[in-house]
Amino acid sequence: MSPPAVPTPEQLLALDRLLTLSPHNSFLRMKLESAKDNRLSVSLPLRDELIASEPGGMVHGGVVGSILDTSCSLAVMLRLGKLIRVSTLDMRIDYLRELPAEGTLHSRSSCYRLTDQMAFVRGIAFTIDKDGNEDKVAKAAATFLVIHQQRVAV
Amino acid sequence: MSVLQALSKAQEARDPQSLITYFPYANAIGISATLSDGELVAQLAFDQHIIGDLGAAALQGGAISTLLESVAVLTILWKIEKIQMPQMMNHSVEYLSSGRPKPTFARAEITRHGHQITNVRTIAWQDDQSAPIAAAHTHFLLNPTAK
Repeated sequence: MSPPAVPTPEQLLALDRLLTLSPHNSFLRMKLESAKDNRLSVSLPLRDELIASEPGGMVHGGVVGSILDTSCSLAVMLRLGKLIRVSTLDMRIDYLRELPAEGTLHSRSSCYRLTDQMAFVRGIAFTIDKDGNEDKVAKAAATFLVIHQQRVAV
Repeated sequence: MSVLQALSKAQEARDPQSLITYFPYANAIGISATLSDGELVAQLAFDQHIIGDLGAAALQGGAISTLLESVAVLTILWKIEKIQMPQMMNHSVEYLSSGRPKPTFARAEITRHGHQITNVRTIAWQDDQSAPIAAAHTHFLLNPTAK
């Protein structure tokens, strides 16, 4: 079962609506950046409110976890081609470096295997340096339960 | 005053909540800390902004994960590490049932505290501690030198 390379404008709009309908995503000011070729990207502006502890000034791991959870779950729906409720079973995150609270945090996720009930997803979180290179912050591996009986309305 | 300086005062007063102001993000999403039978318990108050799925009225997994990470750090500081902030290396969380719109609690157990690595297990629950809604194990690096 291979996903369509490019979602229809309606599918893209539905993914975007679903992301912004989540109050937690809105609180973190997440935005859908792109969704195609089985890859989905989300971004989030970093700010002082997201700092883990003072002094130090590094972003809380939970912020990184939230953007990865969101982009991974939407990546499942991108692959499904429709909005079906998915439930995170587990997620492992490797924190590759500390993240200062400035600039923009990006994540990119891909559902690399989909069965009737399960979705296997990986994702990375990264920043972009001044030369335009990606600098990895964290890596995630997650599994989701796909609940076909429950369509999500947006 | 740094969080580590505030720690000894908080311990004298047996008041972990006084530390939360040093944790801006935990504070912003509504995490507080108390002692229950001498053990540190963190609480995530229910608020609209921690909901992930409006249709299902379920808490966002990332918010629950933030609570688990926060209780792990607070417990390491409270019980062991008085000198420096532990740095989280990886975090593996299982979601056991969806978080309902009500307060969520969490506690941490330090499974091993070595020279370099501290291993922590955490659980989060709502009504009944014996029926957790999420569980995690997390590795922290102490003495982070590779800066």
